[in-house]
Amino acid sequence: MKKARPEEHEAPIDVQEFLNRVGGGISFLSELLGIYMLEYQAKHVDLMTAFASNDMNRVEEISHSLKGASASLSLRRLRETFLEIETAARSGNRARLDPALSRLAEDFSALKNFVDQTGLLDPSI
Amino acid sequence: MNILIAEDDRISLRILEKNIRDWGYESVMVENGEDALKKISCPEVRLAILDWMMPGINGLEICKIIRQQGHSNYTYIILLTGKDQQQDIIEGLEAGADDYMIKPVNFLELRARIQTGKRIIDLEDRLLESNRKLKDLACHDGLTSLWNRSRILGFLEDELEIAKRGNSLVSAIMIDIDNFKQANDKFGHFSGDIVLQEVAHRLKKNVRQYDRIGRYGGDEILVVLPRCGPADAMEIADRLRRAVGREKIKTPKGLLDVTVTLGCASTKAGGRTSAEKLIQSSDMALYRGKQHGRNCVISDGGDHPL
Repeated sequence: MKKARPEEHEAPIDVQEFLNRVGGGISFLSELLGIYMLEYQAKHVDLMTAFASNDMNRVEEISHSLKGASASLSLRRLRETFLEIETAARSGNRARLDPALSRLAEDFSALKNFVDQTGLLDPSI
Repeated sequence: MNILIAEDDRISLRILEKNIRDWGYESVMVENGEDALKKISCPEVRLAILDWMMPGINGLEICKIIRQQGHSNYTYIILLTGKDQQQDIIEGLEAGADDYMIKPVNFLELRARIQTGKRIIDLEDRLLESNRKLKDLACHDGLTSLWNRSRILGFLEDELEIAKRGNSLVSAIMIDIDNFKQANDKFGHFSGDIVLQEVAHRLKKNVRQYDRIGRYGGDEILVVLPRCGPADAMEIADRLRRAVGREKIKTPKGLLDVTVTLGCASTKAGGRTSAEKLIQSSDMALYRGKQHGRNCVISDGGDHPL
């Protein structure tokens, strides 16, 4: 059964779900978020380059990888968006990719704001 | 127990690493299929957590390769993947994975599944250990702990084959405890067993590291000497004779003087001899030694007794 897309007003991170599933406490979540931010920035550049050059295999590969990382951190909205990009790339559907990529920018921005407001990010990163 | 983690996603890798360390396991981490394949072959790795999608060789292919290779120590494999369709699960398990977990992983569940894997590995280890002990029992004589008759004959046949190919010599020494039957009758079988055990112990301590020594039957002991000609065999045999007779053997019936008679036989350079013939020759030499007055070494070449 397909999961419903998380509501816009939901927090970008389901902190409780993460803590229940992974353990390690907030400090561990902060550390992982730091790794995620760096990974995202690097891979997002690759993703946009692949999209611009119409390399759908590469788009699928990168979005698959970031989908997994997002799921690991309970970033539900980002996970759903990457799933959409992955599926669209697999079917070669550029028309579906454009809105999904725009939503990706919004979702990541929402995550950044959330992290800034809550002070979740490890200051050493 | 060492756990191999093969995962190209740095976040998943870090989560796995931390949790597995916190649960008290050692971990080996790799980020691609080629490295995973190298590490999974290490004997200390008994459980592997493999991501299905990885650069290079993927987790599914690693499962297939490992199962085809059929390592002597079983590696329990948990396949991790975002693929959640029933046909994916079937494909993963059919490739040789023992367990399958869909990402994102719940780590309490993973811990329980690792414990399941550990139980199976422990069972396998206990089974291998039992097999090893059974094999050991099947090859050794229960009283003296020397090789048993069939094993020592097997060694002799093997050494004769090696000698034939390498054009080297093999010798055999047949040893018999002097007047053992009378001692058994006079002092009882329990004392006789102690004598046999002590003689075996003294002989074992005085053969070369690569010689083989086994209980041929009753109080007869056979020593197989690889790469050894008649002169060296006589020398070794006499060393064994002196080692047995040097000190009395302590039994519940008191200290007993024990001696042995030894018959030596050797293969000839360039010649072919069967195990049966070599034993027959050493047995005949032993018989002549008994006639000669016991506590001596006789070779099948008719040499003077030592």
